[in-house]
Amino acid sequence: MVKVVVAGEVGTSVKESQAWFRIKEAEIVGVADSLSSLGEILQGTEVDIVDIGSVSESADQWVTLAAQAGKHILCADGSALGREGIRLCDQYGVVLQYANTLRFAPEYEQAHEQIKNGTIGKAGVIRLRRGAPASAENAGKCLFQELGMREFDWLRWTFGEVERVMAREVKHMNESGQIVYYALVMLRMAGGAIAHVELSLADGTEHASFELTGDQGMITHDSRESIPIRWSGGERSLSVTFRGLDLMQRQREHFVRCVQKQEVARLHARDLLAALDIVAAARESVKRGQPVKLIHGGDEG
Amino acid sequence: MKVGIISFAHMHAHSYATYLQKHRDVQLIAVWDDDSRRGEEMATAYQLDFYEDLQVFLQSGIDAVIICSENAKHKEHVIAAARAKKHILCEKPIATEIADAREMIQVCKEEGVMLQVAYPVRFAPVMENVKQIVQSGALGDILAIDGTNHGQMPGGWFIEKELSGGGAATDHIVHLMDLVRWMLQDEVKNVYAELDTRFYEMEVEDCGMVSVEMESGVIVGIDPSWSRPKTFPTWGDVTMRIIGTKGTLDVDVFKQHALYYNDRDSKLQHLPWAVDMDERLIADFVQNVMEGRPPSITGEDGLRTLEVVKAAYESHRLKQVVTINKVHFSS
Repeated sequence: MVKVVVAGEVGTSVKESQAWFRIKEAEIVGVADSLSSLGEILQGTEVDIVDIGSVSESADQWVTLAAQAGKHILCADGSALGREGIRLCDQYGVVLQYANTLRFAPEYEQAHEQIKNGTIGKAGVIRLRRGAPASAENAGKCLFQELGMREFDWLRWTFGEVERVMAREVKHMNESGQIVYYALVMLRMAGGAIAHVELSLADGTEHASFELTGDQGMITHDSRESIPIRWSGGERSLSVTFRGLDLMQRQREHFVRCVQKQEVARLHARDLLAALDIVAAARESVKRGQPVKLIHGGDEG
Repeated sequence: MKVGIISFAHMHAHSYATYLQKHRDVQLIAVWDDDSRRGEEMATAYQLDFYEDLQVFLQSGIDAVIICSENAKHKEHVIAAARAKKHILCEKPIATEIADAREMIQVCKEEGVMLQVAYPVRFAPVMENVKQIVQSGALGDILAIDGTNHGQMPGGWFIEKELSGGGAATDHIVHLMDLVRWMLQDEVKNVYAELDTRFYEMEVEDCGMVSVEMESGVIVGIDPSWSRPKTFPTWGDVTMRIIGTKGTLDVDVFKQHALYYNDRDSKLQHLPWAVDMDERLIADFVQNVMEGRPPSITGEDGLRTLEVVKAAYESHRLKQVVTINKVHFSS
């Protein structure tokens, strides 16, 4: 049995706990609602995985504590991860993953496999989009990290390292205090493909789409069109999950197999660092008004 | 009003010829083509007189010409037509070099003839609606536009640099750039572009991405790639997402179509049922000539969009953002 501690601020990790209840080979051995309680649990209990749910600011301190104790870490939000915590995980050789990565999203996982299998041939122009509603909470946030990190990581996972980044962004506060925040990012992959990432905090609802073109064909997806059950009329909205497509479950099952050494981690701490490098390059490009060259070692094909 | 067509090199000439013939105030009477076989075929198809000599063609009693020759020949043909005092509708892009475009505009001005550039998408009823929505303020202030003008690879002279001036960037940046300038009444400040040849073995670029900042600060993305697969159900697309302070507008200009699952040819096809924009462009040009009005889309509109194309090529070479130095006219 793999032993899990669910951590995070009081009352915020319900979804994480429920997800672990669905994993046959894991059990929750503790719930930590503060840094000090996490410290205590890690000292007195046998633990394999620390699952960090919602934290209001950086998850860095939580990650540091768990990594120093040699525990594998699953963090709900990739954008809450700081460079220091990630580096520590890399150093201690613990598995660090974040829950909203696209590497376990079935449509992105399939697209990744198709690209690797050569379905579209030589990749040409890759278009990715992610959108979420405007919000008053977006004021201090970095759009590239908040929304872009997932797409950047998927691009790197699928097409290899990034050579150059050009980004532009616009931000506006409207009368109701909502921040409309929008960015266009162009990435030249070291393999030659040209990627276009559109990030929008100006949408009515959450939205994601991709269009992957190559000299042998094109693969497209749009979350607004992949709706097998559509509810209309009435007051209620419909929320459904499909058996086998539950992201939280898929990733946790993978994570357990990693801990049991049955599987190699699909996402490493150094991938997160590389995604953060792309985020930083995009920010730098906005600041300078020029493209930014990313010189990177390249450890994934 | 009598009209002649200079060259059927660009396939739009067929559509223009059809709508000129349908127009009740127009007599389409003459065609000149430097490919005399094509010229004679078109003369037969549309019942026109074919001329091998451009000067004789220009003296055939026509009031106006439609120029659909290869991009690099626009300059020669526009200037010849202007010198013969003919009003001109010139296929886009206006020219392949900025200096050529400037000279063409100057000569038309000197000769007192109208030069209109063919950007038909302005006349798509969908775009007219979009422009109205944008200008009504319903979206608030516009912050950004992300657009595509994708196509299938056209082949022929479009991929011969000396005739076309360039590939997908030359062919497709201008449409979106013209729509953005027209809707926002704004000019381009700077341009960044990544271009490449990744889909086909050929001399010119077949894909890329362009990032533009307007003078107002609006940011614009343009995908001009010939990236539509051979199995794509239509020739390409013109799409835009317009982000305003009060809302986002998703535009797919050619979305008015039925889907045809065609077992006879084993393909999927769009069957458009929208009002044809070329018909409205032709009607507008004819009306402008007949009423002596200024052109709806000027030579300068053509020049401004060409400047963006040239800046995109330069940016691609330099791997830097290129600031536009607008050509100004002494009036």
